[in-house]
Amino acid sequence: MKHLEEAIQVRCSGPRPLAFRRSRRPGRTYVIQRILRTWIVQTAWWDKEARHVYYEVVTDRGVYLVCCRSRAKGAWYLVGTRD
Amino acid sequence: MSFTYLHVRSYFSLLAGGSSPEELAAEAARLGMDALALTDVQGVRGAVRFAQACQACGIKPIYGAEVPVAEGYLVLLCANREGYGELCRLLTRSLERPLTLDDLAPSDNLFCLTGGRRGLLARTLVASPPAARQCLERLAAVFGERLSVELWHHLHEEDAALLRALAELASACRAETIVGGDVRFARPEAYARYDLMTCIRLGCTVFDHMPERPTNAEAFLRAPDTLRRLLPHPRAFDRAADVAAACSVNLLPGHLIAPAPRLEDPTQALPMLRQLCEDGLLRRYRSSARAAAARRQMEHEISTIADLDLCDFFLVVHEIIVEAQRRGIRYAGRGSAANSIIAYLLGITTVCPLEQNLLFERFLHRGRAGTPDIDVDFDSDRRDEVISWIEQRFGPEHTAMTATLVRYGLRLAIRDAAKALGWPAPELSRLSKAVPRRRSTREIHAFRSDLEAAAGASAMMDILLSCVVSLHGVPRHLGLHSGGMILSRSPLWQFSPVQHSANGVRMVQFDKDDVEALGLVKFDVLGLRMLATVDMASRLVAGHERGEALPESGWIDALALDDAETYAAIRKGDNLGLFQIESMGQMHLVASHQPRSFQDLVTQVAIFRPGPLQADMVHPFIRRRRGEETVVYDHPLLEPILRDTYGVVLFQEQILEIAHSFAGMSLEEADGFRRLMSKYRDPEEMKEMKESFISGAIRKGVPPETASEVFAKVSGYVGYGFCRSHAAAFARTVYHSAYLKLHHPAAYFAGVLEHRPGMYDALTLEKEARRLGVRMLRACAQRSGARYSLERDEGGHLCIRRPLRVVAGLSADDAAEILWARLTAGTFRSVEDLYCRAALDHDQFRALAMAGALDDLAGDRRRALWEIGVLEQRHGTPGSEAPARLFGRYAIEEDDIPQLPPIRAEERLSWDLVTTGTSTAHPVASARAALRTLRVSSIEGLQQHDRGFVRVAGRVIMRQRPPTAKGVVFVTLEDETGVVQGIVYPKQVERLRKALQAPAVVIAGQLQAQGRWRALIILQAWPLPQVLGGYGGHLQMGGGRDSFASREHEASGRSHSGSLLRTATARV
Repeated sequence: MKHLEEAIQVRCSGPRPLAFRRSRRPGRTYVIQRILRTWIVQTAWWDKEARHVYYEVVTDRGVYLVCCRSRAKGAWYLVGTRD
Repeated sequence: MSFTYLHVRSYFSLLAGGSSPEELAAEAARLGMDALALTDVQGVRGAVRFAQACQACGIKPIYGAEVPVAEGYLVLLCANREGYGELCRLLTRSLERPLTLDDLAPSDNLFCLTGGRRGLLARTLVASPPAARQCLERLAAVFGERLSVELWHHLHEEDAALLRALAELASACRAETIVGGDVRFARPEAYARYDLMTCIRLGCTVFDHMPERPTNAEAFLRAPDTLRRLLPHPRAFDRAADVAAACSVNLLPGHLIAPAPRLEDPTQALPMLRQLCEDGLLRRYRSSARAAAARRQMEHEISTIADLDLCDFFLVVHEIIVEAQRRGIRYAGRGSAANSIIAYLLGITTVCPLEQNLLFERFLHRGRAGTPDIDVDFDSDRRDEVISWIEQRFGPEHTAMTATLVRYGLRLAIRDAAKALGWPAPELSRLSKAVPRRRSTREIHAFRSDLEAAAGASAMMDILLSCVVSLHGVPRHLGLHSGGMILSRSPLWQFSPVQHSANGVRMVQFDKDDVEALGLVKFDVLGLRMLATVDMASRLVAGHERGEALPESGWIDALALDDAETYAAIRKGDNLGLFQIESMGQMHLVASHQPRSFQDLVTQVAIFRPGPLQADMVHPFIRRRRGEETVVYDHPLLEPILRDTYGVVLFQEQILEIAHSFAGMSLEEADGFRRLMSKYRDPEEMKEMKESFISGAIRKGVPPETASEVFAKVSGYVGYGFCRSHAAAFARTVYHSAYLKLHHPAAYFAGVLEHRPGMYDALTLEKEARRLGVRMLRACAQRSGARYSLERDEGGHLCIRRPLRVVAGLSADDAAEILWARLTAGTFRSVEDLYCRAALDHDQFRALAMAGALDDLAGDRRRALWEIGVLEQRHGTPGSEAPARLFGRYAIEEDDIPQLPPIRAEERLSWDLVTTGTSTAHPVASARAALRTLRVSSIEGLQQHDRGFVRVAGRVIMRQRPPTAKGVVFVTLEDETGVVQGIVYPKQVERLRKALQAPAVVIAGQLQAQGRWRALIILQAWPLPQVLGGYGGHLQMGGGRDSFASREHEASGRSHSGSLLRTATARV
């Protein structure tokens, strides 16, 4: 997995991501064809608790790992990509 | 049956589960489940509470446990009661040694789940897929169709892959899959608490990364529909429902299962009990005016006991008592059992309930569920003998001790939570000591400023506070009950795993309430040091003063409790070393109360307790008794109940009687009321009880205002108080101790020094013995025995000989080594002879020399020390034959010893304190001349005054800050003439704190007097280090008990005293 750290814009259906756009590739939409895995990491309950929901997804342009760091704020990140 | 979770931990997994059984059961019911399993780690500790919670929620409880096997664990679920027993046996074995797959036996009564992420199969699969297949096949061979491969999903990164692999493995091996859940808490909100508990368990902080810590809040009881979306394995859900339907265990029988007494015909328990009581009636009341009343009471009690099916229980307790009698082991029944004439007739208790006007219903009534509490104190020295006999008689499989569930209180929660939140170790102690003991974690917000003062304000303080609150009620570990021994008719593994306590005692996994709910019977086998003291003293009297060849202690029991001289001595205040009335507070009360009879002693014992103290009942009682205040009753109905206590509520029975006779409650209700008054009160429950009390009283014609006033008085009785029967049982031992101290002080103090039943250290006790004319003889290698013993001096007076084990660094085994060498090959001829025959180390020989224990062999301590030094050089290892000697010389020749200076008084005092913690001369005596010039009085000198401003000096033997004293600190000082109490009012505490932490002080203040009792209201205090001279800082200088000062001082004293021996030796 190649590590990335990039804010992305995501179109969702409920909590599930359907497609995303990267700021580094303007105008290109990555359509999510399948969600391979989902997992949750919850950290630092004693400080500023954060709940990260990870989705490993197959898009029409490859396999990516995207993450929603705060569901309320809708902050989405592209965490990595797999060759 | 619908789907339910079959793999669920509660907080009875002890820091490995985040919710209570009650929370889990309630959440399962809310989610619409009709059953739930509880599978705690290596135990069934929460099973009873879980059963009760499920009953309350209307769902079926399923019992099981995570059983550690090889590198993981398996979840075993009980299909029936037999399965529960098999599980308990397996858990017992797992607690003794790690289990392997070979330890598992086929069973039709257990279902096996392969466990969660850290379960046996998943761990094996991660390590080696072929090994996992072998593992599953072996499990299938043991459990057959009852085996299921567990599936779960906690939304961890690796869960999906693991789930897939497990499902494939199950399919390949033709094993069923099942949804277990691997639940750790009821709702996601409990995640933080669960993680905190995990950190506490692992000993790490929340900032550390540990694989065992949870990484999200998903291990909760998820709604079945949501779970089905995560786990697309419908057959695994069906399997869970099938297994749940197949499990049925009724754990709570609703009745007692008493142990079996020795009876040829088990149906003859009642006739046997009656016969024993008839015998007792003849023995106790043959020529008594109370014979008829005794018979009536006996019949009443027998009928109650028979109705409650408790005959077997009473016969078994009787059997134990008879065995103790046969072995000559001193015992005394105490507690509410002394309210029963049956207990008296069977010889379990020694106080006549008719004479003492004791109420049977405080002990037992038809509304009582479970076994009555029969508490028996045994000679603490021989308690283990009683326990061994019980184990032998009933069989080790049928006996074990009850556990105690140690739940988080405020101090412990602060310490553990602060540690997990990363507070440094030195601050943990400061934080936990900033709050009082025995407070609920929910009270922490009241102590925020104290915590900030102790450890500084911090951004983490809010988190600490919420963490501490979250630990409310959480069990931390299992402890050992002080005396509750379970006697079971059937083997205990049918009820509980049996494990070993920290000190190796076999115990079950349930506390006394759970034990009772399981239908088991508990008998309290307690150890009381004062009984050992009385027994030893009575035997010494029989041997040394009565010339009995085989000394017995029974003569003391035959004494009438009416010796006027004994009561006079108690009234005089010579109570140091006595049972229950030796504290300064009790001595003050004795001076006011002036007991003249056994009844007065009963009151004396009961009055100085938190209940009466907090209800402000002590002073009205004393004033009324002294005729300084008129005895008034709030209502005529109260007069017969409170007449003998001058209208004041002192005893638990009186609360029960008021509730019964004044407020019209049934005896059962009244007993419930009495319990509520004595314990922590739930405000809602209290409100209900108040309404019931007042309305009941009004129905009996009491005006509403009077009913309210009486309730207010009774409800002031907060906290622990004695029942009259318990006070009466204790008062008898008080009398015995006072009688022995007055008439046989040498024997009594030998017993007290041997067993240390009270609150004072050896220096104070020996000083008291000397005050009564008893000489203390030093420990002596030639004469000392294994225990304190008596010898007659040249004048024929009895003296106390210290045993060798009082010498610092000598254990009882070391002392026995010397004693054995002396008994087997005769007394020692010289220091060298002792050195060759006893295998001690050099420090121990030096300590013996400095303590004077070798004076008989060397002449004096300095020479003995010198000889030891020479032997270390020439002889080598102690306890061995002398090596070949150069030129045939002895190891010690006369010319080896130079002209040594005689030992000075200060040195003797210093060495005595360092090596034995005691001395013939009191340390303060050496400073007396200087103190006199400073116009500092001796403590005895205070007797010449009864008021005014005075100064005294002494070593601090005790500092106390009782919770009932509203912030007042009591400091007890001792000099060579006596003991006096200093009182520090709250406003002065901070100003005087540092000075009063010194081991010896001068205090100045206003004198208070009551009879011979003296106390000072302390206004000034100064440390007196110069009084202690060369031996300053020795531990004993700090006093025996200290609930006020920091323990850091004590710790530094201890480490310092370790070096003192070497320093003192180096000086020689």
